[in-house]
Amino acid sequence: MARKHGFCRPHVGGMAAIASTTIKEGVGWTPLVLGSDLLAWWDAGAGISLSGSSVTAWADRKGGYLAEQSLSGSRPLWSETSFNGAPGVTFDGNDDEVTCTAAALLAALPTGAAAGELWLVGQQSELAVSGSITKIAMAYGGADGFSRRAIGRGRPSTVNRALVSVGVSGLINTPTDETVDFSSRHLVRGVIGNGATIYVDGGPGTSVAGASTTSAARLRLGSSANTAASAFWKGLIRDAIFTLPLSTEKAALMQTWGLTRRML
Amino acid sequence: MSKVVIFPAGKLTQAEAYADACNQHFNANIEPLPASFTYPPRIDAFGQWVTVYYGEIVNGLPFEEPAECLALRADGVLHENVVWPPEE
Repeated sequence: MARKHGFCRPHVGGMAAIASTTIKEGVGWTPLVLGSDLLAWWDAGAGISLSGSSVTAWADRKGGYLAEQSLSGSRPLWSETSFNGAPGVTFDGNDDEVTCTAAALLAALPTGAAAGELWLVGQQSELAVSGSITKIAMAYGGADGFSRRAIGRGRPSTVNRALVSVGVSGLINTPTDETVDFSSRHLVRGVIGNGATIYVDGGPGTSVAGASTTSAARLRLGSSANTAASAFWKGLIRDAIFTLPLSTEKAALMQTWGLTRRML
Repeated sequence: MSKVVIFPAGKLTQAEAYADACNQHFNANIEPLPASFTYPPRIDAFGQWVTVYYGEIVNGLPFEEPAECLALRADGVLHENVVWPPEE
């Protein structure tokens, strides 16, 4: 019988709820301070349930939404130090993923052309020489890529690049950052709605026009959100965060926090 | 990280037998249903049948491959990585 135990770190630091006009960054700031703008936050340092070293379930810190995997061979691995000394969840790039179908979360996620954001603190480990195939770290959507919002990796020429993948009226728009070699650990922000913009490590954004036509049948970490999981992420996830559109002030706080989470 | 066993295109029956045996052993010895070890064989980008290797590492821990499963993957080849078909 498998030895299963839950692992949940206590929340360190944090601040009480504050009116939006008085948000201040300080010691212990976390995305929980975003209040109702935060929809879900999967943190590799909390909410992990294990069988051996494999993740059977991962509870987010906002609503306790479970991202799960019942197939042992498709479970990612967890370690307290794998993210350059910090907790991390490692995906093998073959078939590892965890899926969330929590109704309350899926109902809250922006769909259609409603604006929302995805934030990733992750390590991209696919070698550029491996090829140009897309690898997705986090996504939510419907049956296929034409209805999803995602952050992932591509290789449009010879260098790994971060991309956002968005369904737009039967097409897939992929704003791709061309400023950062998307190897190793980075912060990626995708702003999606009436158009899509990607920011990597706080750099200048790259945008593609087009109102999204996405849905929210499921959410996955480590792969696409298609009915059949695909485009499996090779690398680690430390934080996967889903929010409503953030004000300039809140986005700046998130960015400052996220940049430190990269463990450079 | 999970390795995979890749069976040739005409060996679906053999791939299914291997996957079933792995799942049965997993349920009997490691985790009961509804957990499973591997998915039903999936087609890769080259038309071959792929299932997860039941050995070396299971649930992130060292694991000795059962003899009955070893015998059932005689028609397959161990690989580190999979090339799946393009998703769209």
